[in-house]
Amino acid sequence: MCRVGRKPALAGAVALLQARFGAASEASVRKAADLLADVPRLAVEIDIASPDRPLAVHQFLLRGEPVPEAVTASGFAGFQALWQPRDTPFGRWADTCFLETDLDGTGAPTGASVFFRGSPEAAADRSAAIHAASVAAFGPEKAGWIAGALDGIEPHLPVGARVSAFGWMIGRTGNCRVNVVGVPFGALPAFAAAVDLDDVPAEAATVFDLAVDAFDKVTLALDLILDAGGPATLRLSGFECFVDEAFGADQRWLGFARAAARYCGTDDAALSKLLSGFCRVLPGDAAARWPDAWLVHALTAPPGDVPVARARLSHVKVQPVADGRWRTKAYLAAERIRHATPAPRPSAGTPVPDARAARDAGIRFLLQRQDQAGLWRDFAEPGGASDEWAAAVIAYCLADTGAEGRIAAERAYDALLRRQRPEGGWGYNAATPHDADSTAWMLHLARRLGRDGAAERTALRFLRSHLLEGGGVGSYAGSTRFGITGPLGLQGVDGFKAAHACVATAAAAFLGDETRRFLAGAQADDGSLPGYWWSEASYPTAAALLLGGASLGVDGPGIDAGRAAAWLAWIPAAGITCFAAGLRLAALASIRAAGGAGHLKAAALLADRLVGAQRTDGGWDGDSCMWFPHPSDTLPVPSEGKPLPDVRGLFTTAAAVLGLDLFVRCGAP
Amino acid sequence: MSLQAAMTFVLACREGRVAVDDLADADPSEVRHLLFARAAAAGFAFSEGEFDRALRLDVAARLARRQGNG
Repeated sequence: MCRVGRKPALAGAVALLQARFGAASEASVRKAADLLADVPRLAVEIDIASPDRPLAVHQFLLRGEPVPEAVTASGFAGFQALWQPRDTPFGRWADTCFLETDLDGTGAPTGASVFFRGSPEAAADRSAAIHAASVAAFGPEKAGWIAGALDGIEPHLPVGARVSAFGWMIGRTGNCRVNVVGVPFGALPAFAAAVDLDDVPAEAATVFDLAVDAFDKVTLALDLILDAGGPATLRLSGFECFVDEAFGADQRWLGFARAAARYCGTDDAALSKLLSGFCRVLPGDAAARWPDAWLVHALTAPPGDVPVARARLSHVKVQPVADGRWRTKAYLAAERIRHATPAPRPSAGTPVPDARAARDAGIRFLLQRQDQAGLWRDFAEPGGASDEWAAAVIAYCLADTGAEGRIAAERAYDALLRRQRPEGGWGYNAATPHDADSTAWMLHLARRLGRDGAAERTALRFLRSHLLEGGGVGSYAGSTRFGITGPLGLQGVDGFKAAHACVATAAAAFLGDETRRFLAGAQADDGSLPGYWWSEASYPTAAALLLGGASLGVDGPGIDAGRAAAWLAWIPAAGITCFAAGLRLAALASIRAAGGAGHLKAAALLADRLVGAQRTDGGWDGDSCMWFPHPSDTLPVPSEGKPLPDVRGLFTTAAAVLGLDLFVRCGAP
Repeated sequence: MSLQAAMTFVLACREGRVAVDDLADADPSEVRHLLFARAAAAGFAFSEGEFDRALRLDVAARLARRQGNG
């Protein structure tokens, strides 16, 4: 039996990665097997410019998992003694251990480095934890240098940033690594100057900002150089760029590669090739074979346990090399996981929060998930997550909820301003054409924030170019070109360019009475408005009342607000989604605030629905009823489209927050 | 040979009617062969492709149930 064969949990990960690697690389991983733990996860680090020669292999270990003897012998024993007990500063701070085994030019292992990720909840223990481990690794003198360097970083961390991990290069040069997470867009130059970061290339801030704008998380990796015979000096190691795991082979990798190509020399064809056919998740991938080594695990999983196996690009690291050149390394990971359990709801007996408390918890949930660029990303398709349209809507929902919500909305507005296309619009995300709906939502956000400058004027011109005869508004202008290939593209995209009430609701406030009359004509006898991008009518009907598609309190064109409100107040016996409940509540509360019929009983029921479904983390499960129709269908055909849930629940949470906020502000308990 | 037989075998493993726990530590290169031999001994006849599909379907159903319950 080969060495990997003696480690069945590891062998499954090797098998999943094997499909990507040639024989030489596979041999490297097998050579390193003695240094690898028998855990069901493994990542291989490669330089994208020469992907067939692995630079290192990585694993992360949870507390209590077996550590290979070869690693213990190379200096890990001291860390293990610190890590295993939970009642020490190190035990409380360190929650995950990462082992990195470097490989030499022949693929042979050359030694291990060890990193620990720190728990944000144990930040108070961090200094003592790192000091204890540094003494164990390098002795008291160097431990003192390390403590001094960390003390120099702490006061200069931008708001929202923290030291997330610390590493000891025990098998390499005897230096350390500090990872800082949460540094916002535009904040690198000031931080680098304040902590006296050595040799920062002139283009570093640009590369960092490109990365922050493209990815869900970018970690600043800093080297602490200890071998200079004096106090530690700090040097930029690079930027580690992560895409949220929910999105797999996200197109943003390629977008970033193109944007950063002139610095990083990363040709997107190489990255494309790397991604192609590599990212796979079992059970969903019919072309993938379940790793033999994990078959028994899958067959004996207890009820409720969902054994998932996946191989994916974990992250990339862009790293300055010399003379303005950067290199891009990719970390290809395979692992076996249990499907994540949804965050629990309050158990029976837990005090039920009122609408105000639920709103506040929802706001906190959204604020915690605003990324370093200032955006939110949700939905998984088409073409990856939405970070323009979705961010504009979420920021709009937060903008009037209080000081913190306002600041977050301002950040999002600034981030979106950087994304404005030359013609004036915004899109679903940076990889898709700009559209009327996203642009209209951005204009609503600007109006809420009191912004009215050149950007808004250009955006308004762009929005007007989507106005169709009869006052309708197309999602996309007639001249918009799509990169849709295959059978979908051949049948045209007429549906995306036709007039739709759900798009007109957002645009009506800016396009005037002609569009309001179009909406009035589209209103059904029961008071609702039909959706094209939505599988039921709550969104378009509520949005018309919230965004100016109706003439509230005055005679004029637009939908009949009374009939729309009556429809929104009628709650189907089968119940409604939280997304629909949030929007309906917001619309009913806005009518009450404008002096209209309040439908108080219905509003209270909707608020109860939201409060009862809120998770303990403050968010709501994503249940928005967005619909992706066939591009050629001018009316949605259920058999040809597909539902697109907000996989992160941010969109649903924003709707719930909007509803509860307006409900609370119009005098509800 | 049938997908139905493979699905029944997967279910039998899950419910412990066919014991496979002892194969967890077997050489990974042997596991599939040993598993299929055990299936044959218990009277199940299916191809390798049918087995893989049955396992994927079973886990996908669990995933859907979990998400539905979430």
